[in-house]
Amino acid sequence: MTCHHRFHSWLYLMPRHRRGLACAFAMMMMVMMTALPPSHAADESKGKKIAFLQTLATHPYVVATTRSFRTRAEALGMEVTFFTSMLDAALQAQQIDDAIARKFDLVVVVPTSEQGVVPALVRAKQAGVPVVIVNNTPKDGTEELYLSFVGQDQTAMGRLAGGAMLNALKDSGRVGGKVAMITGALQQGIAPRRVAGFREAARANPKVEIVAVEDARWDTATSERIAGQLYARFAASGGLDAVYGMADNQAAAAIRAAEAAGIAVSGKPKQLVVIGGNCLKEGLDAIKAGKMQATITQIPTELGVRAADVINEYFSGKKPPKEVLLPLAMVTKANVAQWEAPCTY
Amino acid sequence: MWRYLDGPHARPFAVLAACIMLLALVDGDNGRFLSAATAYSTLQTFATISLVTLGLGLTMMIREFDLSVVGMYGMAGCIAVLTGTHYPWFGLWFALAVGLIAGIVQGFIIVRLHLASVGVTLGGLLVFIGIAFVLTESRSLPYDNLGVALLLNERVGGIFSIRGIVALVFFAGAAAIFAWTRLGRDIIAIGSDRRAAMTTGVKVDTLIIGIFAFSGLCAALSGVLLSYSLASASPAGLSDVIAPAAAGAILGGVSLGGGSGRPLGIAAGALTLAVLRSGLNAVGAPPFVNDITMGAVLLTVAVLDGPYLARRLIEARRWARRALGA
Repeated sequence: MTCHHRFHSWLYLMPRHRRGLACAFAMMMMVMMTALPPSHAADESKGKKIAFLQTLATHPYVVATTRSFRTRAEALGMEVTFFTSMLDAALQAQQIDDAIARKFDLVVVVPTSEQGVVPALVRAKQAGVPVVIVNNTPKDGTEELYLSFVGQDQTAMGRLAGGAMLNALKDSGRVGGKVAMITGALQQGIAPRRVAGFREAARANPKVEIVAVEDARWDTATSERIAGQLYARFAASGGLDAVYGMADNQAAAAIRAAEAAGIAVSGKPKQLVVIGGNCLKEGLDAIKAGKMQATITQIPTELGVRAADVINEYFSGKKPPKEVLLPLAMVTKANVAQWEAPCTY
Repeated sequence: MWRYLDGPHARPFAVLAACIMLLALVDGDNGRFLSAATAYSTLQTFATISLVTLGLGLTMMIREFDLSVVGMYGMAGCIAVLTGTHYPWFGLWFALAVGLIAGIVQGFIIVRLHLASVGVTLGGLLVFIGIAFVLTESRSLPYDNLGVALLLNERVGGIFSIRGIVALVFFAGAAAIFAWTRLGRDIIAIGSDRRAAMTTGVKVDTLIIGIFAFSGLCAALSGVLLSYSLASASPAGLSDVIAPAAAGAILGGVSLGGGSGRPLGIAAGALTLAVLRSGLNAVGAPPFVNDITMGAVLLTVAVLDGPYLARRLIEARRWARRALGA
């Protein structure tokens, strides 16, 4: 039973972060930087022993992150050892302690639990082992325990999705509407931050009302069931106007449930608006088919590369920034073609 | 010598020794496995799983099965974190009391209504998980007393931590009770033949309730210690516990049919799992190797422990010989 919750919460390991949006120019710069090979000499990183503590070994997003990190880090001369906690908070804390004891030069952690990881990070700090956090941060107020965070601003991602929802409602000729969120695991981490950002953006239009926030734990089947129940619940009061499926697999599930319930989803006037997240292939397909109006990018291959580069900067004697936030972009029908390759992994 | 090693009480230690030797061989002269760091790590894993293994193992010895330990493990952690931020001892005692009472209630239901323990404790499991979700409002909770977290895992004597010492003390106590009182024999008697035990004057009902109470207590204690040491609690559980606990008990010489096993054997079983988990981690094996190895070791023990299977093998050999002769 415990497994059930944890296995479906794979996505809460996805990023978050506060702070506003980078401007378009900065985004372009960063995309260009990640595309370029490391410019400075890689000698400082040569032979450095890195422990990379990942959450899962099988999920495509996680695997893509790990693989891209390995390729870049090894090209920079680092020796990387990978550990996986299978989302077991106790095991991950143990792995951090083991890595400290075995005197790795640096430890990279993708936290399994934003709270459970903290005592082990304190011990790493006490032992003088530098830690780089990737993808999702430990709880607020622990920033001095790690060198740098590489990931995405999850609240901003929620805000972008909220903005996309307002635009799509306007495009479909509405002045406001009833909105439902089908979310990832709300227990901790990413999903609560995206909900907060989405709510914040939605407040810009007082005629938009968020009528439901349902925890589907990032799971496709659960999302489909919940979506069906939501359509039935609001059918009597004129139906829903928009659904936010926090990840594209969930948004696609909401579309399938709508079609099964006989609700049209082409985003045309008076039809259901669907917004997704994470730019998965099924999301892009739905955008091309006109059934989904937008998704927000989250690209694991860039994440691994940036993390390796930040570590290389550190070994080269530079002080890496506390937060390295990857650019966010909104994908709509207008620019879907350009995101097809990066979002397929 | 070999006969002694083959005895049912010595087998858990033989399996443990075999696993240690195997890992030492795999590591070669890298020094990653046979080190103080790995010993500490092993005892930390032992601290996480062993108390639940002891409680569950005792219920298996009397031919019952306490599924509710998983729920209690998570719920006790949530209760302690919710009530023990300023007074860690209060959170601990409160959670232990809940564990004890829940165990007594389950034992009472099993004895009085003559119900199967799997059904009753499955009910308990679902109730505890449900309560944990209600108490925490479905969120994972931070425990803001970081000092306690660090203290519990601080190294004592190079390879021990307070968490590990608590577990070892519990096992020593249980082993002493088994060695020097008739309680141990009574427990084995209940598991072997409940009716016969009753006619010889063993207080069967009281003991069953007592063992479920102890199992609840053990699960609560290790849940609290884990939550405190990770400075967090989650209604969904912080660590997988039922598979290692059941595997540890079986490796420790407890049979699902009841009537066999003893606390030191269970300690060896839990330690075997801890050695595998920490040792494989130390030599850098990918995570699924751990599961495969654990499964392989379990299977080997099950085969060794199956007299029926052994008899069949002998029969098959005899049959084959006769067929070949003819």
